Amino acid sequence: MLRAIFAAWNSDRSAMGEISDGAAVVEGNAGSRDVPDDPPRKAVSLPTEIVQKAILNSADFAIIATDAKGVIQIFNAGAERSLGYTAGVVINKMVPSEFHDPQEMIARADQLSAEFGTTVAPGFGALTFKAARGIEDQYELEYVRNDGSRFPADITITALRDERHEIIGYLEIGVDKSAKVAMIAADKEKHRLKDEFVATVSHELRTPLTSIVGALGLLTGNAAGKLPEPAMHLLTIAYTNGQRLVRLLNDILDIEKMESGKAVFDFNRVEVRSLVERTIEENHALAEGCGVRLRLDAALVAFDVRADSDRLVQAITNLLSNAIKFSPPGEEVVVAVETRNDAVRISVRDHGHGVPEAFKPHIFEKFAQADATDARQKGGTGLGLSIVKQIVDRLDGTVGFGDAPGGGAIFNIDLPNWADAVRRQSHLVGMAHLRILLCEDDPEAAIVLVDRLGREGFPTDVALTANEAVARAATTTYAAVLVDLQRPDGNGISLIKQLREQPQIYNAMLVVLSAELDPAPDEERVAAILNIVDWLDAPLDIARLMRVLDRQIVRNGTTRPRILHVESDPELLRAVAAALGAKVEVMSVDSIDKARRALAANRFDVAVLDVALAAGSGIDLLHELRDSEGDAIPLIVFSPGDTNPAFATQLRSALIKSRTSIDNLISILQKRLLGSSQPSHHEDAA
Amino acid sequence: MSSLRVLHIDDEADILDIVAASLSLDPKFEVRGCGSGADGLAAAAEWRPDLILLDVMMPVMDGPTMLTHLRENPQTADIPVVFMTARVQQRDLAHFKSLGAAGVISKPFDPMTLAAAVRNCMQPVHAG
Repeated sequence: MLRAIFAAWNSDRSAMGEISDGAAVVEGNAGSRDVPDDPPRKAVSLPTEIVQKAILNSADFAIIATDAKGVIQIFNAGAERSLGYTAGVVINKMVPSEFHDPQEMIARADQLSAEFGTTVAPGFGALTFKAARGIEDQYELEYVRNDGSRFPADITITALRDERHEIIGYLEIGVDKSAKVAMIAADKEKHRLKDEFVATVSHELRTPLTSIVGALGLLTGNAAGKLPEPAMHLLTIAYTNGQRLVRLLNDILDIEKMESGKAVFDFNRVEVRSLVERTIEENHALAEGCGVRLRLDAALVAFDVRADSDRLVQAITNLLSNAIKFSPPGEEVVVAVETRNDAVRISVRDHGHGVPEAFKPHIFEKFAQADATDARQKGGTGLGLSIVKQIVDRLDGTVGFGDAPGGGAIFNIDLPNWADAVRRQSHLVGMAHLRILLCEDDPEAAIVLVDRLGREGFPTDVALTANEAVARAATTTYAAVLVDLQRPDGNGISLIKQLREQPQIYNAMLVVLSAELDPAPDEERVAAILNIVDWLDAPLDIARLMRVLDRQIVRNGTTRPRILHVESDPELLRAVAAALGAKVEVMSVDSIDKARRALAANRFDVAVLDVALAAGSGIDLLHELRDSEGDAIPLIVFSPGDTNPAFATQLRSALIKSRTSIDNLISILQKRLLGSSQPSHHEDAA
Repeated sequence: MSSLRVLHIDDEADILDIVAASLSLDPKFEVRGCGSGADGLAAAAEWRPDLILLDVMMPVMDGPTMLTHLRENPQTADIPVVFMTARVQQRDLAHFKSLGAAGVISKPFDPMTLAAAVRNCMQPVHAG
């Protein structure tokens, strides 16, 4: 049937343009006869086929239908208008994936590969991958117009099936969302201004508060001599309220930071029991002041979770201080740690009045207090539980509450256990998960880069030492790892090798920097850039090379990637070419000169370089391994024997020959990680 | 026993007063206050205090800049510096530590325990 429509469409395109002007009312089979009271309408009967064509033609969005192989069969007027191609040019000639940004197609293929645990090649297959499996598929992609300009679109892909349920083609509907994107940008700016305002106001308020609370604290502490009882009473009121104002400011700032996604969470492996013990210890004074006992009822087993320990302490503290404040004197607050369905549960139980029924739905809302006067007397800010919720959400956990058996309330925080959390994280590899690890021993240089990367939407962790770098890479998933080769604690090359052993960062892009202070004071720090996929030692482990190449090929998404192999050992060249087989195109060269000629004439997806080439050092070639846009070609380095620090120094001086700026680094990261050279809309709140 | 000499730099005169009053609760402390980074640098070189309490956000010369200047002068390079700031995020804490701060005390502070907090930031050799 689809073919029939295609045929009608193609043979009759010129006639259809005019239909959209006419007002067409369809009278179906079950027309007005079934509703006798309806006044008779003036109806024009039109054949369904014509109406369908009118819909296609008049719709203000792109409707593109293809055959099963992806070749375009229908290209409506909306598609012509928005994409700048005429139907005649594309029908029977083009595939929809040609209207998309190749980098975005690669990112999509990567994402699907990670999601489905299989290798999805970019191109039409990546577009229709979900639709072909009957999975609803709506996503955002950029369309590239005939003239090269772009616009963002919401795209829906549906498989078209015949009566036997065989796929006979695909339907792509693309809706231009430039206006929406512009609105979001304006909204973002509005939010930025609000955030800035909140930050400024809270700082400006804090300065006088520091003096007020400080002065009152000294007076009530009898630092200025003993005061008469009535004066002391009034000053105490002023002092406790001043402190409450401080807490309120802190809470507002916290909430604002978390809601805007600006709060930086430093995830680590955290042992829950000792963390809870510490938190209880810190809240002892408050409990004592209220005449409440704190007791830990924890299993003796150690439970590990993936969390930011300070934030987790903050969340538990908020639950504890609520429990303390709402407990009658003489009662006990019990904190328990247990596992529950693979999750780690931290619960805080009090013996207060419990949560009133009517208040339950609002308990995590901002400034929600069950009994406002009661809570205010207890010095609460009304933000505590909503902060708990924000924190626990960010920790990938859940927070809940209920009536405790025998009276009182019980609040609990459930967090995924360490192993689950790591597994969950590794699923995100390849997705728009943009955390970066910066291995830089110079704190000042690190601060400059971290600030800049943060502003560009890349949350960045810093590892000052090699050990720290390896530890972080073992526990956190990074989209990219930046390594400064010049290190006081050993050479950068062994660090690269250690890092590449970490499964967590298999898919991360590893960029080598050689940060040097530029002699000119007003120039930015410069960094030469190498994109190192792996660093292999002799004897060459061909299996590992294959694994690494496979990953790189999936990443690159090219159907038949071209690899440049520079190696002076002819046997090794043959062995690698044979092992790689037909799925890649290998160009094997045995000298620097041949490599240069090959680079000048071809585009390569990956280079494998023996840095100790017999006829001249392969190091000289490092900074020439660039594509026509000047970007570093992903590189697998093969070096014979131990890499010594002298070699690292040599490598560094080779890199310095090709200096680039921080801007260049940022644009490479954007291009590789976001699939575009523009600020990303993928930015997550991590 | 010798006293613990603390130089406090803050552009808010009221906060200078409060800090002086708070630290003087501990009889071993001797406190001097300066209202700007430039005055602070001169006082640090001349008086050679045991510790410098330094406000972060100040006009003309902010705390981190002043710290850099202190480190450049051999006379003041080894004096431990403790930042006082309203910005208390963990990330900032790490940032200040990486600049070489011996500690960070958040504002507002508890005046009755400020002296103890400052002592905590001192090298063990000064703590006696």
